[in-house]
Amino acid sequence: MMKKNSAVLLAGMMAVSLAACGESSEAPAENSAAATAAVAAATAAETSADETTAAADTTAAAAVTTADADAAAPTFDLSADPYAGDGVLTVGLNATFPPFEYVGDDGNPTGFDVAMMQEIGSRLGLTVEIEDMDFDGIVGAIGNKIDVAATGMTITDERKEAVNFSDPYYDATQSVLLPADSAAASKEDLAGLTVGVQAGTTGEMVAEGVEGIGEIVSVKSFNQAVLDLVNGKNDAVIIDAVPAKAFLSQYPDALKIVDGETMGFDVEQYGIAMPKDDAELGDAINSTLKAMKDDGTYDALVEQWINNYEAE
Amino acid sequence: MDIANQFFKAFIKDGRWQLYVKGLGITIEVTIFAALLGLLLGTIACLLNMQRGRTGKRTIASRIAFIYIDIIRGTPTLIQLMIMWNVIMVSSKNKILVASLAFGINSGAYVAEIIRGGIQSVDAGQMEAGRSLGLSRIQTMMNVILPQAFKNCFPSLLNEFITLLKETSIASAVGLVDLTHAADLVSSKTYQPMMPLLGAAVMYFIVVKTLSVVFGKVEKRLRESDNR
Repeated sequence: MMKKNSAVLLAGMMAVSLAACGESSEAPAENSAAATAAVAAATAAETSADETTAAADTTAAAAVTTADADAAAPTFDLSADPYAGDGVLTVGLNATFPPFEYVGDDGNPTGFDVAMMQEIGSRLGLTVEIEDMDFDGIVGAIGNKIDVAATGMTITDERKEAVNFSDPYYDATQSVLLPADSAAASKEDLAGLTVGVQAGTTGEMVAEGVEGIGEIVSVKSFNQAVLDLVNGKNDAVIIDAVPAKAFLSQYPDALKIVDGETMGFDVEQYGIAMPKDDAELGDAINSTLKAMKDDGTYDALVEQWINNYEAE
Repeated sequence: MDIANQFFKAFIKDGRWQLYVKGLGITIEVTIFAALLGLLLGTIACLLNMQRGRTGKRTIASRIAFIYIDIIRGTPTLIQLMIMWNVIMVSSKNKILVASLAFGINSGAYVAEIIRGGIQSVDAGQMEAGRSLGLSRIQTMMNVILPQAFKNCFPSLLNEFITLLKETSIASAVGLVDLTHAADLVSSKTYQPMMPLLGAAVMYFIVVKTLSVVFGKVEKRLRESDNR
């Protein structure tokens, strides 16, 4: 009798605590019932009209609860956003791409993309969490495991079918890392060579487009591809120009670069990848990016992270 | 239908199914080489490991075998593969060779312990009978004990080979295009991981099932004359 009573009591406690847990982690969209009237009014205003014009000033400003000091820059209330509404912006990247993202001395991902997203996050009143993952899984993970991705990702038509991109934030070309004594100087010289690339990158696509190319070895990490080049297992590595210089500074005597212009590669542009169904977040990020470019923060970040990068 | 479209993009477009078949071929190739190497190394290591000198203490060869088994079992396969690729065979470009060696050495340590279990489960009377018939220790081992021991090891050996087959997917870290890597390549082009991964899983399962059935038949044949 006692045993049965305690069992029923414990089962009841378990059910109650599960219900409580479920409520606190529910999507923000369903919090409107519990939220204050001001936030509810702002949410209603946002779902109907477009963000950038009217909402930017009064309604949003009144409803923003987190600190947002600069009155001149437009503010965004993302509390109803399905991805950023919980106050956390999860950013995916592949930290084998110095100086845009790499693992710093303290073991955490760091670099230009990390700094840029943290600046954007603080301007939007969001906490930024960085997820280091394999590059070829990033596009598929947007909207699921991560909210956005800032990982030196080139804007391509195929990728645009799956995700939205922000306005371009950096221009780049692919370049070719070669052994210091290699004679290759043009696209034709790449024929028959074993070329290392990272899986899923535009470097891989460029390699596949070279006529008569030898074997294309695709690995998950640029670190491994460059290590193979230094050890003589590859004949070349196709990688973006800025990280190529970063890797060159790690192996100054063993490697050399032939830049993309000489090779006839196209100029590419990096963008922040965002979920396709979320125009609100896209507008917020785009306008923050533009503000950063206008007030000099962007240039300062480029100067600090890209132009002054030194290998460990 | 969305599923049909996903299936088309994952397998049929651009003849992508050929990537999987090629990958499967490489997986099986590496597995076979590694399994044979592992079997050979494992048997030798096991016999050496069990060897004792006149005084009953370990001989030098026995100690070496013991250290080999200990270290290889005590470190992750991925690290062994990376050491083989980046340090020991640093100038080799042949990924299949390096992968087969690394997995073969790894498998050998586990096979050694499996065979030791099999040998020790053979009745001690067999060795005594062999010796009293005038056969030397080695002769008894080769002709009487080991054949019976192998029969005892069969289920565990099958386990080990199945593990080896699936473990070869680690080799994608050095760029070997095995079945898992092929599925990865396709999913990085279509941005839809479900179909390629399911397809690869089904292929692995078919191979493992075939192995199990074949091993099962062989085991049955071996047990035919038992009265257990």
